[in-house]
Amino acid sequence: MGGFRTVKAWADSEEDGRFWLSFFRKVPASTATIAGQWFDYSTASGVPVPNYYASSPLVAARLDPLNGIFVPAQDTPRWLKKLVVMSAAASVTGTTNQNQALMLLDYLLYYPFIDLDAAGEEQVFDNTLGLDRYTDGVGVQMMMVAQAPTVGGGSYTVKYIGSDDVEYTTGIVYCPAAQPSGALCSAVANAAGISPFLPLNAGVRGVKRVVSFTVNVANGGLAALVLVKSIEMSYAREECRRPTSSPTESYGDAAEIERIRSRAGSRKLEDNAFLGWIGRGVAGSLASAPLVGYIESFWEQ
Amino acid sequence: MGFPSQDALINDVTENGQFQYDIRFKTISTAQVAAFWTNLGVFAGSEPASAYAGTSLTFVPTDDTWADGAFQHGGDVSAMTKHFLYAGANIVAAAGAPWFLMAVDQVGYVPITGADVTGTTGRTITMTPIAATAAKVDRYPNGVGLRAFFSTEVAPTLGGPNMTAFGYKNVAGASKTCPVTVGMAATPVIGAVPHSGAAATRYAPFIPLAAGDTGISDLESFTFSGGTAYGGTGQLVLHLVKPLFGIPLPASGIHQVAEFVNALPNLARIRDGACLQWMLMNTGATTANAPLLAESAHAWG
Repeated sequence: MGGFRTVKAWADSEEDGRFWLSFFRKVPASTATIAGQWFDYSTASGVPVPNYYASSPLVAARLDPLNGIFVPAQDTPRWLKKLVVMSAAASVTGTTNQNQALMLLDYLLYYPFIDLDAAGEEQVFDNTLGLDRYTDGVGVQMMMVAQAPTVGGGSYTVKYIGSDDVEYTTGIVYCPAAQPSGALCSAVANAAGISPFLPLNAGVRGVKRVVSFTVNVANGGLAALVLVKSIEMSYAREECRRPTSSPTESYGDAAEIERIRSRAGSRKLEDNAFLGWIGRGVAGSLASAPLVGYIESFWEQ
Repeated sequence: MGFPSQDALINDVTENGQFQYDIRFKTISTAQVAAFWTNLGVFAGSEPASAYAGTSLTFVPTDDTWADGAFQHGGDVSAMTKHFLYAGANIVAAAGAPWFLMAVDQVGYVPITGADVTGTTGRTITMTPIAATAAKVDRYPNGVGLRAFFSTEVAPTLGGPNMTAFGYKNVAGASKTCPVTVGMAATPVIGAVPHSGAAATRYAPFIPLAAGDTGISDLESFTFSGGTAYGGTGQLVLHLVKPLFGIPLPASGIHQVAEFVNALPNLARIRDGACLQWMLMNTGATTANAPLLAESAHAWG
């Protein structure tokens, strides 16, 4: 048995020096993102460095945890202790990054450079490499990330192996109207981009690996299919800014989540976890609006 | 000791006078760079600007009697213990927000000057390892919880090397090395933590430790090699600190308060001899002469 059995054991982590502070500052490019769509902050520049999903096309690959939000490896299990997130406005008048839902993910495995124009062709993935954490696939989700700007309006299906080792094919998944690089390409209907993850078949609890990808209606562009495990939700309520002309009030908010006290229990950070955020701008573009914050983690004795 | 109950805390504060309220300030007299951490000890304020005097590569212990000036938190209280109850802070600046302010207890520092900044071969640090005695320098027994970071006292005029080795002893007295190569910024401004900023292999604010290590009892060595060697007459400082608490500051002029009684773990401890200092993370480029105001209250029992 691992974990922390008492509040004292939890608190002793800090007293015993078993803690680490991990900072991030990600700045989406100046290309506008679209209201309602989710955006993969791991692809943005800043700290840590941008992730381009750059490896052999259609071959399963893993990301280097050193290029995610850095939480040093330990000899004993690591746990999420605290999250602080703020979203700076792109300019002194910018407000479009407010009310932003955020999700911290562990990026497990990805299949890059899927051709979203190859209508009717089944693009089969090389699964020589598999999951090295959450290996039973339970809770593992699929998300599609644009690796290049797309035209939009397409649709596709995905064949995958569920956590029950059965092969499934998703229903038709639609792409939003258009996606800049880094945007998530999954919607519940054409031109409606509100779903971060691809819908799984009824009763399926997660994904072990992805078999193939078939474009039904050409969408344009390239994308990576990424297997992720969600770790935590947060919310940037108000953009951080101070106008230089009237009214010159300051605006801003820090979202803080403290595990145990403000959320039951904690979430384990697996070995080799690549941590990153996705965010959903509801008020407009997230372009050039830095997402900053820190993660405090504890590890067991 | 400490506070066995809320009643005991209230009694110590209201009946026994075991309480102190403080307001500290600093003026960030040099403009900072976006995405960098800053050691605010180099700036004047309620404590004067520190010169970090001493012999290059020789550890200088610091406590609340440090000649450069330290936060006067009321002296020793042993066998009682002293704890922060809350803290708040704000910064007024045309640019730089949002920020993170972090309070640390600086156990000591190592001045790095001349050829020890520009050299590309290993540098050996002279330091008596932190032990578990009643001496103020041993206030974190065997260095438990201590972290290290570099800062800039005088900016090098060119360069940007990699720190390919960083040697230290852990709390068990075993010699260890930082598990990653750490990139150092070219010409970091005064105050800047050179291993911060938006670039690859910047691990800020603290130098990563080997897996399982919970602190640093001895700073042994470092090597700047690869990249471009620092040039000119720069001066760096290697700090040994215990992080105590952090406060997110969303925008200019917003006073943000962190409450520690109900946090978990709660009541960050101020050890006898603590040399309280400030670090700041700049999302944007903080404007020159930006004032920081920090308030705090602590009690002992």
